Amino acid sequence: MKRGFSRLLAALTISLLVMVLVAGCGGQKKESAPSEGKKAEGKEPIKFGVIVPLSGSQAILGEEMERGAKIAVKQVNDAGGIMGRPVELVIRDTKANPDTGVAVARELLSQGINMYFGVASSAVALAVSPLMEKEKGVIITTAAHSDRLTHQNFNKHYFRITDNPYMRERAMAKLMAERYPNTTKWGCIIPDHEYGRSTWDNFEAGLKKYYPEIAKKELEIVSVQRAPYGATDYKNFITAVLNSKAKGVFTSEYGGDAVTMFRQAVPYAFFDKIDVMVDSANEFLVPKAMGNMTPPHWIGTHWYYEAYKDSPMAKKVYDEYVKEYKDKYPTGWVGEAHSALMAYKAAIEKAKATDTDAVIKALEGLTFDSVSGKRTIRAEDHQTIKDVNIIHVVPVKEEPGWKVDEFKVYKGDDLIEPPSPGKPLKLE
Amino acid sequence: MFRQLITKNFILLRLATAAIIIVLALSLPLWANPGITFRASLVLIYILFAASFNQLFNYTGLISFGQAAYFATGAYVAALYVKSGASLSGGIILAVIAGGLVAAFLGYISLRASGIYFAILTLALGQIVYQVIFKWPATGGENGLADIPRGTINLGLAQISLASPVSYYYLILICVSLGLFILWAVTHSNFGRILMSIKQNHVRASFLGINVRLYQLISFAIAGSIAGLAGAVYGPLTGVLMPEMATWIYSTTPILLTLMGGANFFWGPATGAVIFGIFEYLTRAMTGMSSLIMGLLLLTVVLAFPGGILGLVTSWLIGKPSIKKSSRNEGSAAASKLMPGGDVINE
Amino acid sequence: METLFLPLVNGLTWAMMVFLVASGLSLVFGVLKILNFAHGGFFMLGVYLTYTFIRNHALSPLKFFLIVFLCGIILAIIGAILERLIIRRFYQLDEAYMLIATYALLLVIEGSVEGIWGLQFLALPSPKGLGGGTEIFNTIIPSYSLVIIAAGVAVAVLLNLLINRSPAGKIIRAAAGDPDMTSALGINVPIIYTMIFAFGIFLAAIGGGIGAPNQAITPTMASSFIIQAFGVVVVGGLGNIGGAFLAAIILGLVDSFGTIYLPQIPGIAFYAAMALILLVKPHGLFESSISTK
Repeated sequence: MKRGFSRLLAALTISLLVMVLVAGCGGQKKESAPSEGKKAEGKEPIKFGVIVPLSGSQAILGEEMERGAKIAVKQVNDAGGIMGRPVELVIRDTKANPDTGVAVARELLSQGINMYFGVASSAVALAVSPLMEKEKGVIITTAAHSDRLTHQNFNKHYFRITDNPYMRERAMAKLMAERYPNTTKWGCIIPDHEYGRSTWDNFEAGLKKYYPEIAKKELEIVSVQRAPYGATDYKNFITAVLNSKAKGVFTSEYGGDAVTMFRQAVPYAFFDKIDVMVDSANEFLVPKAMGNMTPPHWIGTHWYYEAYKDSPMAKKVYDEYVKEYKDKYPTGWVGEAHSALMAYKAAIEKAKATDTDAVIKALEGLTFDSVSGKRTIRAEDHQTIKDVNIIHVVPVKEEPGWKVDEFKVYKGDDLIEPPSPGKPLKLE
Repeated sequence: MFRQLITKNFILLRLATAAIIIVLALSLPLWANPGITFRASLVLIYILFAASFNQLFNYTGLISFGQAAYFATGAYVAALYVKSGASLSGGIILAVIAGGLVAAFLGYISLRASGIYFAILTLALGQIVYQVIFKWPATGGENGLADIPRGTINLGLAQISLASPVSYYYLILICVSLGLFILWAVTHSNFGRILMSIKQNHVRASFLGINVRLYQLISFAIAGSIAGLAGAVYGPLTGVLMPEMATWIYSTTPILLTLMGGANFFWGPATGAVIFGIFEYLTRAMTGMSSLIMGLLLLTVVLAFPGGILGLVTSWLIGKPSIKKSSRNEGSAAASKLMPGGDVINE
Repeated sequence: METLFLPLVNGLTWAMMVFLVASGLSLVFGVLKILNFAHGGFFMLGVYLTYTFIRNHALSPLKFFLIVFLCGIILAIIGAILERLIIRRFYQLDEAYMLIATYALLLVIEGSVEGIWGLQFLALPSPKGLGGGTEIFNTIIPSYSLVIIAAGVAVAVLLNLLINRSPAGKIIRAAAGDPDMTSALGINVPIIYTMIFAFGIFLAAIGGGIGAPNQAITPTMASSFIIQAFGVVVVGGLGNIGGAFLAAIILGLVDSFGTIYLPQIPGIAFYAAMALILLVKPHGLFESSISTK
């Protein structure tokens, strides 16, 4: 009986694996086939490597990027491809792990694919970026916010299509000075590592610049709470902020940690006791999780579709997303992955070539149309100058329990730091 | 008939297999593309990492759930040394020493306990190593280290650049072969035989005047330095290190590879690493199901072929079950018969 | 006052959360001699299943805990089936194989949760009337923290009564201590094993349901809780539920005060305390109370 069972289990597992393998390969073929491109058929396709985290704790970012990329490819192919050639995506899972990221990138590089986009974690980006330099590839990241990528560790083969923390935090600080001039006591709950500290440093620098300038008020930082990364209990930090009488609170906790922090703050009536809460990192993740428990707060986002209602491109991406994924709230990562392909399209059409050197040259200083209006890629450090979107969410009675009641758009040119590739970022 | 033929020529068969593997390993970068060469380099590192675990598990009778901490120690020491502008050869030697020293220190603490308590202590101490790497500015903290150069290796007369994936593959091949040779020599030495006698019955061993803890500690330190060696060549391969490498989740990797390949065999961890590497390559286009598939695969191996792949192959070739008997119930065979599930696997 | 009282309550809340996971873990180890990685997976399944029934409705406490109980029963049945099909094949395995087999099961559960519920983070509302704060000693304490603490203490007391004071407890202790003899006395040991395993899963599942309003619900939450529960079970002495209770409190308070007074090294306090206790008492604070060997 025992042997029989073991064999049965083995047979089951093996057949499952075979099924999955077949499905995996089949699915790959299907997804990379050009979608009924009318004019684009018959020519050799242009291939892009999409390397995103699709398992592990960052999978939720990777999934949204993959969706944005697929929508972009469908639209490009429907409109005749790039220079008459159809576009194909080869999607790979980085597992948010640098060695897997390098392994999949190397594999695709050796198949002759030279253009890449995606990547959520800075560690993966820091591993893949020098590889691109060495192996003559080019990558546009759609998250990965460590400032080292465009400063100390910069190389010509790396591009960032998104806004960076410097721009976003400054925009949010400016908004606070404009809208809450009387909120002069500020505090924060941030993850205790470089990303957390640098977002706060940028935000604090912004507050110190804009409060005297715009609100004509002196500013006081009353509580800086650094929570250990991956903490399961934020109550001690929450009470510390409350006791400090801070009226404005900033957070860059992210993912599940942010949801835990927001959730645990509810019983303290935390959000009733402060004037304003600012989340710089989580797009729609917190409201989507919290539903009708969502407190009113401001969220920094890469792309908010309503802000670009008049743009046909934004509307098409939004409609396609809603239709395809049955979800009315695409996060900014959808827009960033879409924009990465749009940048490639514009660059290839400008250069009339797809080889790495020509594409890099064309990308530098390129201005192109994206779901959030015109974007310009700065030639010096390959950081994109683009709008920063900030949204305000409030709880409502009807499903899903929250809505966006206001948004603000800040132009990137006024906010961005001066380029200093090769040198560390300096805060004023 | 067929089996008899194999049994008769078993040594010949093994020699032929060894020859094929050596030729394949040596020639791989010449016919494979850089993507596969990179994956093969990773597999080689995992072979050594897993073998260092099996030195403890099968040849000393200790379960370490903190092996990744020594791997990470070696990796960080070598990477920091190379980043300071020095050569990788020095970094490798330092990594071996550092892995051994940290393992000796933490092993000294862990060895106060035994069995599952020992395993959990190695896990806890490994997590402390992780926290130290995570918080320490010198290690780059939570961002890890990036841009780790490979540099050159000094061979007296000639300086060989390691920048190309091919030359670096051969460096890894040499280091891994060396590490495996050391482990092989240890397990086949007098020292190794004493370790095995401790594993089988540590009470008897201590009656015979053997300092059980000292022997276990030396074995733990050796395993730590070999894990450090594997870590040392890992950093420059990917160019990036992150503190998560030291966590218990990463410590499960060598365990999985070892059990999959067959813990009772010296070449078991290697077999597991190679098979797993091939499996990962074949499933690379599948996205988002890795934990489910990994779990099912592992469950199948542990339940259906507890001797691992090599156990399965051996029993198929020579018709002799080579499945390890549970040592847990050794004391009371009768009890295990009465345990639910009834029959003992190899009886 | 506040600086001492608040971390005390927070530490105790954390401790009881972990104890709810650890109690089943310790019970199953005491009887079946299995240290079950997958236990964290069942804790997570308890969270997700409870969420599926409740979603964003703030229910009355009675309804809420009834649903949690029901989810516990459902998962206990699944646990019993799993025990008969798979887990009992682990009993004859060597310790390392057993750890790995249950770890494999944890991976399978994690993969399934991702497949069924998706990657989205979730949050569960507290039962009506328990979502706010209560003022004690001029300090606001989340009411639900008190619920978690009470639940932990209740589980500890009930388990103690069940094992040490009830006829069923006698049989459990007998089966744990000497399965051969118990079997010779005409008691069906395999059935007892199935029931104990299912009961352990029940404890994990209700622990998940009770704790769900206290944190984010993510498909990766199992791993973090299982390691803390392992620590608690081992420090308390494998198989000793009272020991696990005490260990949870010690480690919970160390962790809570650690984050306040040693903010430079967050996260280390827990592991350092664990290693320190095991250094002094290599086999935990107490011997197993279930199987007295």
